Amino acid sequence: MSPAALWGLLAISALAAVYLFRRQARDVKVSSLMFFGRRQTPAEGGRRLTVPQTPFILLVEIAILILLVLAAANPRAITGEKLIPVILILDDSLSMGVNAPDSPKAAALKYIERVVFAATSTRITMIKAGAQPEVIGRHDMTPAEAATMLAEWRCHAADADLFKALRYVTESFASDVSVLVFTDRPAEKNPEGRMQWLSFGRPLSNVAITAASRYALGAADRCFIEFTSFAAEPCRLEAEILVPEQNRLIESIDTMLQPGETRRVRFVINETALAVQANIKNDPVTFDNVAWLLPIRRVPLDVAVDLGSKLLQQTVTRAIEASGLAKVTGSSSQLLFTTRLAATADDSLWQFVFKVASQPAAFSGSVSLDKIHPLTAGLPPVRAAWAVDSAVRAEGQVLMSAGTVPLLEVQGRPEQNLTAVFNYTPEYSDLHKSALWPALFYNLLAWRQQFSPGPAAFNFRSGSDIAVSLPAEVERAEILSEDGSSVAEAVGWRRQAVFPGLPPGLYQVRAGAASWRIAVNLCSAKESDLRAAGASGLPELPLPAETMLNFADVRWWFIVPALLLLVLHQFLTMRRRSADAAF
Amino acid sequence: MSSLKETVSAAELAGQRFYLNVSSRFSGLQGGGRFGRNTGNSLEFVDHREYQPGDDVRHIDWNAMARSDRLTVKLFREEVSPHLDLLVDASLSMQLDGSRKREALYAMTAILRTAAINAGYTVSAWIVKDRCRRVEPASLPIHDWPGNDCDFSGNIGQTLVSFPPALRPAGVRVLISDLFWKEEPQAVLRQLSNNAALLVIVQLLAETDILPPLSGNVRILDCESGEAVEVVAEEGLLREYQANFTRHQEYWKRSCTRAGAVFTRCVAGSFLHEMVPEELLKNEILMARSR
Repeated sequence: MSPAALWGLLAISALAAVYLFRRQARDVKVSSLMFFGRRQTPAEGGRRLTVPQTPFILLVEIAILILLVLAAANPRAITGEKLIPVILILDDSLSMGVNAPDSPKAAALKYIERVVFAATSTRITMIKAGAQPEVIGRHDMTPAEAATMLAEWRCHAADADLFKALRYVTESFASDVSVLVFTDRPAEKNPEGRMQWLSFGRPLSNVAITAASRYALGAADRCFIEFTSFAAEPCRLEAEILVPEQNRLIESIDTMLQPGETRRVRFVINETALAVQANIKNDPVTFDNVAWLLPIRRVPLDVAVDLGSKLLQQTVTRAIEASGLAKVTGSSSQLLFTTRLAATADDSLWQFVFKVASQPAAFSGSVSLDKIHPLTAGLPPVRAAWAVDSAVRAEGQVLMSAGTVPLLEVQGRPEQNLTAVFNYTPEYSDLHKSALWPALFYNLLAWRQQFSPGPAAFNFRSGSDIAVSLPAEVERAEILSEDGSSVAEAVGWRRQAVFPGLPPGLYQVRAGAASWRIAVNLCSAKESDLRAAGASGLPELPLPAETMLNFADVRWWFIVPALLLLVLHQFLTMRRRSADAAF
Repeated sequence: MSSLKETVSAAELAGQRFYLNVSSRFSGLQGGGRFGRNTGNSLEFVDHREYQPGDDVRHIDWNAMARSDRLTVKLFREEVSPHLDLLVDASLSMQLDGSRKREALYAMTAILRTAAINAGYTVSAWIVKDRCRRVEPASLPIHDWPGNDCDFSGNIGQTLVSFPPALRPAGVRVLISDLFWKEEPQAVLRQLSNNAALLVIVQLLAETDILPPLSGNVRILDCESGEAVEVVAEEGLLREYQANFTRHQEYWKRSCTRAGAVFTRCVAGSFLHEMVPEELLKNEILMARSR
């Protein structure tokens, strides 16, 4: 019983005592009772004793107090929701699968099936804690249902944000639910309330690939691989970097690493169409031992340049060829540079329109620049003379402007016919001789290339979303594993399909008839560092023994009638006051 | 008893200062065997005075007018045969615990009896309980009156209406009571004023009858019926009591006016302290004797 209930009981006693003492009346003889209101004389005569009844108001007051005492006692009752609500937060990170079949996940599964699912009086909600919390199945499953859905716990996430999952539970569920966290890491602080932190990990020495990248540089690609030791003692690193398709070794590494030490390898590969693989050979913790770097170069864009001015034709063509992202052809369905907007039926054709003035106005002042738009991001400051048609008025999104005169604006949506209007007269300008010129065209071509069918990149970090631009007329895309089985499927929106993060490995993305290879690498120092993993004591009964506490809170059963009685009490006392005031 | 005896003795002594008014305005008091204090129509000449409108023309002294050319009337001594019927309420409420109502009741009786004798009245006394019993003789010391205990628990009004006393016609009648009974005043007054020269109602009250000493949780007992009621004595209850009491008293006053009776009020405590029935003097029922 809560202290409030005790005080309530005392209040009831005090109230009754007050009423009892107040009822100790003293006798007063009067000549006649005839002036004390209307009192009827009994017809049969004789003495009449009017015994006062217990005041109804007293009964109401005592009833109110009793109800409040009962409410203060925090009553629980068996209702339709009598099953104990249990929430399982499951660490979905890759480290839970380390050392299979003796992995932390396997131990946690055994425990869940033996202890949690054995309690039949529970309703279970399972939340997979990856980068974002995700409910497995539905809320409030029976243990049998939950057991069938447990296969969805795959431990493929590059990171497990347990605290985000706990925050989700706090915001979405009642405060009396039991929360069981299954992970391989010990709790940073003692869990409070009805949460139990169940840790199944054990400290391990690990050497991991913590970074892998590949980028184009001229005709060759540059690659970067980083190896890190997460061992408690100095350990040996035996690794190799190779081109599997040619079975050619690029670099073999055999070295000692101190705890926490990294070994970075940079190299150039001329075969830009071939994949590179890095792997560690002597590490028993295998989930972070392999990284793939697939070719990153896309199919060059077909670009048509149809500009009347010879100077403009030359400068634009040179900028396009310098980017390495496109080749100039006679006609194009992807990007057209022109001085006059052309009507087209192709809904994927972008047009870059030069507004060339017959009587240009020249200036060399400051230019406003939208630095977050993909077309103008990263452009250097404008230091050039610029001749423009001052009669041009903005009709779309202005990215560069001088005063009220738009210099560069875009109209339409990128996934359809986007038009960029560039207010520039080359004969009286020297902007095409500045550093801004090639950067602007590189941005334009890179942006256009993003909307060419295919994935946004070819090498992804585990956990990051995978965006795929869909070819025309294709509505959905699918990701297949190396063995050809379907891993994920997504419906496109605005000609783009987005897949949530995948576990490390090689995949194939298929969209209609087109397909591309992508690689997902873990590259997570936090996940690979298993030195801090540990196990906690596992209680045989993680659920609260006082199952009554899980029953429904029925305080309202008492509070609502108490409020109604309070209203009645007010009514009675007000009626009495008004009766007194009538005299 | 000794207290009552002393009080009555003191009252009789106080009563010597008064006489009961014997006036021709009391129409029934004419033609008696005693001379009144005022002028009247007896054969004994008293004085002359100038004629005033309304004087009996038979009393104009024509000789004096012939001598003085002034219209002069003869004044004759009033001749009366006065009688006083004293009716005493002997119900339980007149002996209220903690009050001196009974002492005041018989003190008032003693003063009236003495004042009546002083004015040449004959006196009859009636103790009203379930019947109206005549005190024989009325000259008995009051404390020795048989049945002078106030012990009747019934309705005095009903007794007066149902069993009226054989009151002398054309006499003065005085009822001394607290009037705390449920009977229509008109019925009682009609009965008592029938053939009366004058009816005087003296309401004798205790201080606690005017303002009962009530506070807190009390059990109010009716000293006559024994009925009890428990109440919380709030301001509202006292206001209710006083309103009802005043309404009752006003009703008696109006009824007395209508019936040609005189209504006076007397509070026991203050009356016993001074032994002066102020309201009776104010209404000229009693007159102070000149020394």
